[in-house]
Amino acid sequence: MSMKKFVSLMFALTFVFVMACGKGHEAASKEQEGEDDEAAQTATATATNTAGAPAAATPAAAAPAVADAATLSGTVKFAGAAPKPAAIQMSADPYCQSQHPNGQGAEDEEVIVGPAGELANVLVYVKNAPNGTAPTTPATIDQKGCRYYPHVQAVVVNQPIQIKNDDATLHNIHAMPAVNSQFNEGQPVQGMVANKKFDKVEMTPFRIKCDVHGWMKSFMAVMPNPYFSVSKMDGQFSIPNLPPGTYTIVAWHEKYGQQEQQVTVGAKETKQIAFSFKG
Amino acid sequence: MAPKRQLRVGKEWMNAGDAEKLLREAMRIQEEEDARHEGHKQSFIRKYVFSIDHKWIGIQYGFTALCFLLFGFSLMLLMRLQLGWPGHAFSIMKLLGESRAPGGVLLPEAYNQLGAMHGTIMVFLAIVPLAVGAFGNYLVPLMIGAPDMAFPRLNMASYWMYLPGGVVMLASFAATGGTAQSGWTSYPPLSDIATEGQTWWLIGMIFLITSSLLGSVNFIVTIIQLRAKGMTWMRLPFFVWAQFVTSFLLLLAFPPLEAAGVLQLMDRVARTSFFLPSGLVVSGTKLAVAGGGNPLLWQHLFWFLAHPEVYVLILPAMGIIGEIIANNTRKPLWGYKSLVGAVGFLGFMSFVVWAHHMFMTGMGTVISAFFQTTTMIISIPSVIILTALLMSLWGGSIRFNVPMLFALAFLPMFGIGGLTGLPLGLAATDIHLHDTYYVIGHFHYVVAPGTIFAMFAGIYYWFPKITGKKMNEFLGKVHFWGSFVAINGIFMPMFAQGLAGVSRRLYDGGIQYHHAKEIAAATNPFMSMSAWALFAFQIPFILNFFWSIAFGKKAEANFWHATTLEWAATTSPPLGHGNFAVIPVVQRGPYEYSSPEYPETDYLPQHHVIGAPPATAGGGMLTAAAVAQREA
Repeated sequence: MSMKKFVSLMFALTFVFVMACGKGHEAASKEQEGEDDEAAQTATATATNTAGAPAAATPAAAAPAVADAATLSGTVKFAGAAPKPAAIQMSADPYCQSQHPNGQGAEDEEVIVGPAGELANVLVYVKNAPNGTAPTTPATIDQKGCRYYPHVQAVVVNQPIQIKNDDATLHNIHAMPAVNSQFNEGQPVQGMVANKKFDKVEMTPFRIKCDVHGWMKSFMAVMPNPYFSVSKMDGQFSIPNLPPGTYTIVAWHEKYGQQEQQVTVGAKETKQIAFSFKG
Repeated sequence: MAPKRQLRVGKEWMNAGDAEKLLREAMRIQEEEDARHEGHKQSFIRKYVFSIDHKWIGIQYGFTALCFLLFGFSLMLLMRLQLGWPGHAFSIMKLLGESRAPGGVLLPEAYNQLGAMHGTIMVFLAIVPLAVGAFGNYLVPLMIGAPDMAFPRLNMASYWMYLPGGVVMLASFAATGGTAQSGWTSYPPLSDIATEGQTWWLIGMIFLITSSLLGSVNFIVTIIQLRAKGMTWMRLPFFVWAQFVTSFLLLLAFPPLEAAGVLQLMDRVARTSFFLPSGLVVSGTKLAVAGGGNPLLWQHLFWFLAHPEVYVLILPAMGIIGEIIANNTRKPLWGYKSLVGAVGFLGFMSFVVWAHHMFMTGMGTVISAFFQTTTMIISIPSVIILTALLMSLWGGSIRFNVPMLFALAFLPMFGIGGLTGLPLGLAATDIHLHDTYYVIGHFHYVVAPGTIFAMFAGIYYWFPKITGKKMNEFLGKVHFWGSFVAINGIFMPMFAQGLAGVSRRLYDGGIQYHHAKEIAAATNPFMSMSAWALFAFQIPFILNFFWSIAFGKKAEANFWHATTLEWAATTSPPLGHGNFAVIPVVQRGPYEYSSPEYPETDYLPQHHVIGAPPATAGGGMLTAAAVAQREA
């Protein structure tokens, strides 16, 4: 092959290569636009779901249907004067600050006490219930306004978990379990979703935090069965579909530790129990 | 028509072409005899895989290192896409996999991985093996008139430690949590608590360090013991001096890092705390380790290697540039003795400047003052070398061929790299500039348009020696001019960014930071486009390289009309076994160009005896006569 032919061929190949790259870039831009649309949809949906519910409870996972299943429900109360939630200083990231005009909603979520002394964000679970299978519906963690929604939740072993970033700023999801494998992943773009799961039982909740925004923290426990609930703003919790038996019920709070109660439930019984944490 | 060159073979004169044929025949007979002598013919594996011939090991090093150079460069190309257009989805990013770039958007931890591995691969797997392993291995024995390295099997072991080191580094990309992401410096405590990839990085480093140590011992012994008769110290080509000093740097600087690497490995796998202090809190949780260690210890051990390592990167480059400048100005190197003295002093001083990388660690003013002083002192030999190389151009009849273009570009580029280092060597200015893009600009000017350009110069220069073929000049010039413009487009704006205080470790290039966003937005896309342009301009080189190997025109033995033994005293490519048919006897210094003693040609080879048949016949011709005599 003569040099001239060779050089011409190479120029032609380079041209094709450049064109191919250019096309790839266009395609990438289109994908990006598509993603943005999706992100917008996700953001809207999340806004609807979470409006007015700063500490949303985990929806109870689908428990196996038992013919004579009982339901365990009750209230968690806070005894004493409710502490005033501390304001979170978000000025380190102007985006986060802009999501909370006048500091609205930028308060610490560690202790949330309702008007009648109801305590939210308490994980109530059955310690010695039979194992169950993981639901296919994913549990979600949303990052919105530089906060986690929900603040406390439990999942079943191997249940899919979807972690979304609804903010137009970089968050990193740093899960710090003691038994399961840790992960630490960034989500730089609004609308990004990370899919995770934990494959070992870890009943003591562990922290999930953002290292960029030090105030962002959330708690998660990994259960062998779906018999758990998190107290809502009104302090209420409910564990349905529980097979009859005698159980140890545990209530866990991130600041005030945990309490246990022995409970026996009969067939189709709806049992009420109560927990009270002291400040 | 030019008269045919005549050579005397035995008692008869014959033309150069016939003498070459005779020589080839003699080589074939000699190889057969050697094979009979050893009782077996060399197997493919022995000859091409586990070879003990320094030339083939040099080629192995060179090819592997060039592959790593391209790989390390491609990691940077991905980083530059992210820096230029942060958070955008790029189809090419999907190559990294869903866990690193979901939907083509590079994740921050994957960016850190690319950064750490770009540095590691470029320094330890690409440039050092290319500069020392490839050029050093191939050329040093030829230049000093040695039949091989002093320890051929050690030489083979050196390559076969290097390759697994590289494979381990590549394999670390598949580790849980990805490859190492704590920077090429691997500072603890971050690296001590990093994901699994860091362990692989450390194991890889231990292989690479061992490889360098084996190589350096071999070079030192070879240069001391195997110089041909008459090759006195002051007749050594400057390149050999540069390799000699480099070998001492490798030999003395790497062991502390090897020790440090083992200690860090113990911290990670045996739960020791050499580099972990007591009471360390990570992400709000106290780390459950024994503690009592000191992260600064690592920094000292690392920089005790890594500063001499900078000179390991630059000295062979200077050696290459020296050879090419002397050859293409057709005059002796200016100030050869000063150059040799400067290289030796540079090597010595490089061991007492390391803590200028650590002014921000809060060391006392006395220690700071010491390291500032030594840093200012070390700039003197560097300036001597650069000045001598520049002075060598004065009054030369310069041939602007491709290797010379790269060599000429090296001078101002290394000058910029060196001079911008001075403010970093002074604590007062370093406090502002530390960890900014200014530092990246500084050392890349030294290493990229500095050392890598010198490597390209060396490849273009010695390609006819190694392959016996010519490279295409036009493609070479396209490669040079494109690379020269593009590479400045990448690194020059870094000085402006650094002075504006843009940190070097930002995943988004600074776009989220109030003080950095303006300059980041103004410069980063341009720099990234320059990086991709630089990639485009490597294509002519890659094509030229392979095309010339396959279809290049045959080059005469002493293609550049050089004086040093590798060109003048053997064929191109050199003889397979023993390099020289007869070991040459050296008569004079290495750069006798345009010598008034020898008006016949403008170059007087080191081994040529005045009065013997003309040296224009090129490499091998004189030895051809000797071979023919021996055969008779």
